[in-house]
Amino acid sequence: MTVRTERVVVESQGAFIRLRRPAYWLYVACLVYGLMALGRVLSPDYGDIATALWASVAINAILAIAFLDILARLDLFEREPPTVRAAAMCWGGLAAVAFAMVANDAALVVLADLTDAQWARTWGPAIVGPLDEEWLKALGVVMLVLIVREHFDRSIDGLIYGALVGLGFQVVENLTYAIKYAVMNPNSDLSGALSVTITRVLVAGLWSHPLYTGAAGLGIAFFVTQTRRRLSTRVGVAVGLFALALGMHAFWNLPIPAGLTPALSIPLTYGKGLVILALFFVLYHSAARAEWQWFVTTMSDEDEAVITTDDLTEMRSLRSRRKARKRAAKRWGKQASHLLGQLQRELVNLATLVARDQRRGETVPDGPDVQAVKRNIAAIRAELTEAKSAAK
Amino acid sequence: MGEVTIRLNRLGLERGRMWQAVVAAIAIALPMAVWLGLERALGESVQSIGDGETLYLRSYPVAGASLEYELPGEGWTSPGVHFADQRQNFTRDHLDASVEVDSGVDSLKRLLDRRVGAVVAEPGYTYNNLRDYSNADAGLAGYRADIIGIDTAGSITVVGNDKGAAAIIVLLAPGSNPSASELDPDPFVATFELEGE
Repeated sequence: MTVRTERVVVESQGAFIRLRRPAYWLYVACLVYGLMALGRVLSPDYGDIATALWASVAINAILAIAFLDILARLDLFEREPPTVRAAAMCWGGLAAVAFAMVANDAALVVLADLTDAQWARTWGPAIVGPLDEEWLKALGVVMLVLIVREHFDRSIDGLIYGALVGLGFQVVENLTYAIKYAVMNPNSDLSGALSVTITRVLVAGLWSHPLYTGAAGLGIAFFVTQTRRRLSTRVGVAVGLFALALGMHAFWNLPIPAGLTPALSIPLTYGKGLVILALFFVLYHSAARAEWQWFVTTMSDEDEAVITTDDLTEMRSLRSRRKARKRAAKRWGKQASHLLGQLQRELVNLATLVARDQRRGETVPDGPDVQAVKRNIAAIRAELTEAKSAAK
Repeated sequence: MGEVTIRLNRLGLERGRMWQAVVAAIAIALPMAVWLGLERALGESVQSIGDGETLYLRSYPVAGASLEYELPGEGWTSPGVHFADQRQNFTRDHLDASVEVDSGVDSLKRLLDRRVGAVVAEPGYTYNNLRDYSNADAGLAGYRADIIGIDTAGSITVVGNDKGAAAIIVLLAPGSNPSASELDPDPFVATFELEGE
């Protein structure tokens, strides 16, 4: 049994288009540049490699969908607006990639001029890649702050938006590699594109740009949202996390020593990835802890009919929520577990709206969207009570 | 619901926020400005190739084949930075030469067709007269075709070692005669030592 819930969307809530914001127009100009630059890369070969390109697009779409699902789950107490999430990915995939291509190419030539081509080819990716790409991707998060500051409530928002910028970057970067290798392959476009796409997804799919930019975004959002802390602390955290993003990216791009057998090089490669993944999860857990504290504070004024003390405890993490649903399934059956899941989603929605109203300093108790969510919660609770009593 | 009053400037944009966009624009342009500025300051790099100098290429991404070769005569230069392991471009007077090595090649004819595609993608270019080619000095055989542009002629030659390794030489020069001696691949291919598969 699923309770039919209603959703009230207040006009312009979650909108990204801000015609009056100068930064919005800068953002649009950068995307247009990115589209033109990438179009130039794709167009001469498009007719020849269309099949290979679309095969790579399909694989990268699966990667993107998987990551979007993971990121939606990582965002424990809020669902960022789809338009702003799309804007984050567009920056990473269009503007940041296009600017990075120009900067990286020039930087490699400079390194080769200062040293030699072999040295630049070996060490360039570990130096130039992080410097240019992390800077340009982090600026995507900064652009979002300038355009839609109201969607940065807590540090974790920066982590999510940063990861989305990184995801856009990763997908389009994979496509540019697919095109390059399709053309380069001596036998077939398809095998050239697929071999590099599958390799990149299997080897670097889990610990690539979303993680690096997530770390940098966390720092930017900490700086923007933690205004009660000392300026030096905020600057220190933002700079430190940007340096960590640079370090993670550089670590991944470090060359594997030549002459290693696959028995050594494969574990070494995956070992690097696992270190990066572990670092990211340490950051995420500290941000998630702060999220829960925020949730408890925000919801503490709500009536027991809306949220109970048990709910507050159960909402702490994805694991605690899942455990609560499993307990409910065991005691009262699957239907109760399903309703509890629905209730948890509505509580997240409520927290987001309450936080928005608190931020705006609303004097009116509940807006129409808050009232709708509370009605949903009441309906779900009624069904849940019924399901529990039916199971006894 | 909460309401916010926005003051606009003469351009119809939010007043007091223009500086943010300007700073962001500078920050976005910074990496490109720095690297392109340094690149320009360092000047264009040109590698001079000595007479009889042995050059090396290795296939990429699979390093299964390698090519040792020399350029005939003197006065060759290689423009730009030579990043790619598998291909290098050269010029002498008005003659452009490009040498490449590939591994795991199934069909030399298909390889020629794929590589000539990049040349004839330029407006006004086409290729014809595809024929068998062999070079006794190098012990390599394959195919050759003529390239014809509006004011350019050239040749593309693909040779292989029957084990999957292949070398490609593209020669382009101003003029309208693909059978001109300077477009003959023989002096180049004669020095090829193609290894691998």
